[in-house]
Amino acid sequence: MLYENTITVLYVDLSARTTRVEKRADLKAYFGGVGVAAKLFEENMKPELPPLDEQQPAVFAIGALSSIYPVMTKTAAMFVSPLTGELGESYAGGRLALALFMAGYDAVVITGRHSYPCYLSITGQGVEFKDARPLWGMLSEEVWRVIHDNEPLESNRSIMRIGPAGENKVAYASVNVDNFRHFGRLGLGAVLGSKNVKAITVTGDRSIPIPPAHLKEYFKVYRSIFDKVTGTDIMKKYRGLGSAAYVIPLNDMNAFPTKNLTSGRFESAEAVSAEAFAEKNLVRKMACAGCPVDCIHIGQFRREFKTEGYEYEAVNTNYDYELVFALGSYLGIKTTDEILMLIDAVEETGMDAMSCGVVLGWATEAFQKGLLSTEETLVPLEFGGTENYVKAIWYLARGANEFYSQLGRGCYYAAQVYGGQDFAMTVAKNEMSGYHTGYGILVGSVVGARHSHLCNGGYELDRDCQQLTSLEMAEGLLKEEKERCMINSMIICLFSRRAYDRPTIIAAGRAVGLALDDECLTQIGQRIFQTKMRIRDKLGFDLKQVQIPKRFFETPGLHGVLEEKTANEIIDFYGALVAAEMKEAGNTVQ
Amino acid sequence: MKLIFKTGVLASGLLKQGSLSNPEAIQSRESKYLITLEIGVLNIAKILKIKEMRRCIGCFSCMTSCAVVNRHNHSLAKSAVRIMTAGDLSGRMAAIVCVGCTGIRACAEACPYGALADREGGGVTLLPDKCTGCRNCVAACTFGAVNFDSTTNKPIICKHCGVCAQFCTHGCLEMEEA
Repeated sequence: MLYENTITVLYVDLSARTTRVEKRADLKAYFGGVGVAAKLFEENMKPELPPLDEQQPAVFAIGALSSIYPVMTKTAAMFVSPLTGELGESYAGGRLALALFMAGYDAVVITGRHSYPCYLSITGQGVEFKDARPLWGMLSEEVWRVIHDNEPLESNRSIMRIGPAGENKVAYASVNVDNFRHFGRLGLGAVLGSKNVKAITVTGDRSIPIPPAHLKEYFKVYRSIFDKVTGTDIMKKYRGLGSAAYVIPLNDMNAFPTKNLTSGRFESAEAVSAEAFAEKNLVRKMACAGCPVDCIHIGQFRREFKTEGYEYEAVNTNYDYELVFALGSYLGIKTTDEILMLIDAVEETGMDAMSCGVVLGWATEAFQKGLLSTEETLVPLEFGGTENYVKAIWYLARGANEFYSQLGRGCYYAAQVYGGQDFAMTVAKNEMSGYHTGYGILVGSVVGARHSHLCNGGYELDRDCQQLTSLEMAEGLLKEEKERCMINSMIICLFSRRAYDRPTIIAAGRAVGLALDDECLTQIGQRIFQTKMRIRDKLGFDLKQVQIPKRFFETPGLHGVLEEKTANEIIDFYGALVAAEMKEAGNTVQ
Repeated sequence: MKLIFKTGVLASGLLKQGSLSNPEAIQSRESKYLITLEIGVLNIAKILKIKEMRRCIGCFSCMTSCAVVNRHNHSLAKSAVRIMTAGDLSGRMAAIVCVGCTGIRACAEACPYGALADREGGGVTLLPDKCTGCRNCVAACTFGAVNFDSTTNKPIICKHCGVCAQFCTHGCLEMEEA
């Protein structure tokens, strides 16, 4: 905990309904965020058991500088992913990090399974196990409202919850946090669902005095960062159009995955651009607690629910680039209103929007090719067919039949059963992200510890570097992966990584008494990276076994058509670099 | 005789102590106020007003800055301003903070010990030595704007210093001439 020489960990055993708090000095070497989460996860995971076994842990951790500087608003989660069977890692904003900080916990480790649906009420005083049987089956916003109204009115409170998809253990079910923030990727929702946890609320009100010796310097640094993120152009894009501003540039690069990646260019890109959303749908912007950058964009659409009598419902939901790709171009959806309709269905049922869109893209093509019929899909699927996609999302969340249950395991598994592996667009079993930029993003997602585009930001290497050799690409990805391990130990929102360069991180840390320097930051990144590689190894991941769907090597992207041979060469270089590093550090890795 | 606190007097007092030349004093972007960590922002005859809450993004920077500047604390529970969610997930926010009553101040009226003195321009000033922590002022405010600090056992009284307004990027909280 800040200003202390220990990390405060709250352990919750759902089976025994017991909790304990440990103050651990040894975890300080892992700093916070993903570092502390990785170490706690490594200690508590059970590689020999299935991902949704009740003994598997769900670990949450806030960063070393969480909530005391602008834009430091995220919480890290680690779990065994039911989608990939290996390391699950996800981040959410909202008010969770602030609430945990105010409650006095750096990390929470949840194990076991409650005998009936419950929700946890975590405060500085302890944990209450509350009855959630009446909430089981409820949609995301309704659960939020019930808990919001039932629990004492507090401003420093966070509410996370799962929807029907999490209850039904869809492998990419999300956990929705406060206002449209999510632990989206890799299925934390299913993990909580398997533990009979419908929701978790965190409230804190402890006093956190700033030591007089740090006060002046702290406020000076706080203010300078506040001015940087609000008063300069560094984060202008996120304050203005939001992350959806990437639609047009990526489309211009041939890198905007369209109709199950049959193309990198979408003919209706302009109609679904951030500019179009801003003109037609944007009704307000919001921020995470502690961040003055209002990047959360709320779009509104109205839906007529009777053909006569002027009966309309107004729906507000959040849009971002990844959602516009996955539930827009990837499914051939041509209007902003229709994209918002799909986002609303995913939000309410509680699923990762990216995986959801990508599995439906595969299902649509498989349906077109005759691998599937309406016997499986229940409704005909075609690109641009919004109405049936909305139905399919509900079928998925509820596991409406055998087919949708298989699809709920991810399109890697579904394609094993129904065929079409060449166009089931996953990277090491995780559905692809919205960047078809080149080897950086493709290999970066394969080798990344959790197979996310955010592991190492490979799309930036694709965009910024034209002529990298395979070795340079592998080295570039490895360097950035470690840097992000360090950044995620703080936890700095990746949207603000240009505001938080290393000198700023060092100044921010020193102002509150952390003895940081360049070398120290490098070591933190390395230590966390090696921990994650050990976890990956223990969970049985083997880089050599990854098969990349052929479609990635057929559809031209930013730098034309990719060669499978080159991709494999970069993967081999990366594997060799990691093996050498782990050997030197006294670890073994496959 | 009724005790009225003039913020201007405090300001000139600081001037005499040479705080304006103190390099630690931080000049704001707009140079309207002078922030010092000793007493917050000095505003002469200005009052904090809740303005455009529909524009609030829920960043809580007002609460953070109030707690840091006025209470030297990271805890939002120490802030004189509270931002609450009102309505649904995408609903508007509500700000709960002293509205700067003029005339008879209910909080001061309810205080049996005379610990809340009328502040010039509106609102009250806490005289900590007289306060016993009875919480009558907390109950007396219809707006619910008197927060309580359980560490010091005293109410958290908004000084109308304006630091929250300075850190509000959307004009939800603003300082107005009293």
